[in-house]
Amino acid sequence: MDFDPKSDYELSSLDDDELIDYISAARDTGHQGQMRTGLGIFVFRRHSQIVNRIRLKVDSDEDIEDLAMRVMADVLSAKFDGHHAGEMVNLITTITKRRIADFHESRSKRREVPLPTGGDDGDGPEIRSDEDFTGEIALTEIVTDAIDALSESHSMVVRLSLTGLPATAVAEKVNRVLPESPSMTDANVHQITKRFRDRISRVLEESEK
Amino acid sequence: MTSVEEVFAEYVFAEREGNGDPRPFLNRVQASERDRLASLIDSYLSTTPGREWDPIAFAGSKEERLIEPLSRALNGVSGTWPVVLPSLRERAKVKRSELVDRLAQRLGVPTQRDVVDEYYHGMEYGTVESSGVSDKVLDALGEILGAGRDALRHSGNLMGGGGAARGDLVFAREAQNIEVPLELDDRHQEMSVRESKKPAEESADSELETVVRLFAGGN
Repeated sequence: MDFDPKSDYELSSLDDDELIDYISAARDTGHQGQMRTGLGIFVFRRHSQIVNRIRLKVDSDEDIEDLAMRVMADVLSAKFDGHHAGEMVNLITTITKRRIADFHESRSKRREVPLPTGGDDGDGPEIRSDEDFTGEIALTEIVTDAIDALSESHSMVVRLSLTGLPATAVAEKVNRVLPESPSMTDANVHQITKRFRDRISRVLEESEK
Repeated sequence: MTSVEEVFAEYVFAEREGNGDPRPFLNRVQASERDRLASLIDSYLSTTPGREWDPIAFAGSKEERLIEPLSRALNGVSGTWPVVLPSLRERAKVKRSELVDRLAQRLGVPTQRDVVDEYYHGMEYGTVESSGVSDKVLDALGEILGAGRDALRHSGNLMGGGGAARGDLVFAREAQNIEVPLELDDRHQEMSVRESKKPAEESADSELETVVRLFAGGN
């Protein structure tokens, strides 16, 4: 793969998407110094904006810096994983708002305790204990049981879809991680997740009877 | 009190001069007007082109300190763990050595503390394949760091596996240490090896296998 190294000045005149493409190409061709320079220019350009936007909604400096760093990692990840083809400013806005919302939501649920599993190791998923989570525990068990009942590739599709990844990215990842399984398409992903949702709905309806 | 529009205009000038902290400006308007000012500032920040490159200002800045963990994440096979784990650890005010002690205890492998240390180091440096790390490890880490397993798993899945995609990063602990299961023909030899081992050694071997399975064997 050809790689054309650029000066700081040239890099700083690139727009965000061109800069990300450059960082990606530098990484893939082993030009670590160029990758870091490009990354530095991108982070320098956008980080303070992200920090200032978070400052509008979050009080603690420690929390602000932490959130800003994660927003930056999420933004780069979305671009590198090919999950977002739109404008960078929109992506930054979306991720910043989501991170702030997640932060406030997690703060409103203060303490976490292990979910009783009945298993040997006693290490189950975590839930918050300061609210009534009876329904959540039941739902968690229903969802977990339903996922466990799936084949390896279908289980992976559902788990990845639950994290919010788009179908294309889910199919790509499953095909990469499980090359021996039948090839997965966007349509397969939609079908599997729809069937999974239907199954959960049926189980919930039955449990309410 | 000054009007929202006036304060907003002042903020724009201040931000362009590099003083973009909005909080002092929010404090200058009545409480009932703060949301409106915050919204104006947010819209403005969402459309500005960002800071001009300044290598002198960059040197030693907060932004420069982000480059190392972001580079590890981009190059590695651990998703955004190189960014997220050190940050969570700092927030939880837990030193790495203390975290590793607690992790080894929680995983029930106290004799393999150094191996756990090596794996955890790899998670922070992007050299441990995130898909190999079991839920049990993430549950234990989550309890120590105050984070949920799913969130940790999700951040490990991000970044598209830079090094993994190119196949140029391999964590060698498994190849170096794990005992390869012996074939049936070697069963006699296996028995004599087992007979010659002391119980404490056998226990340590078993814990080592457990550690490798937990950090490199997936679920």
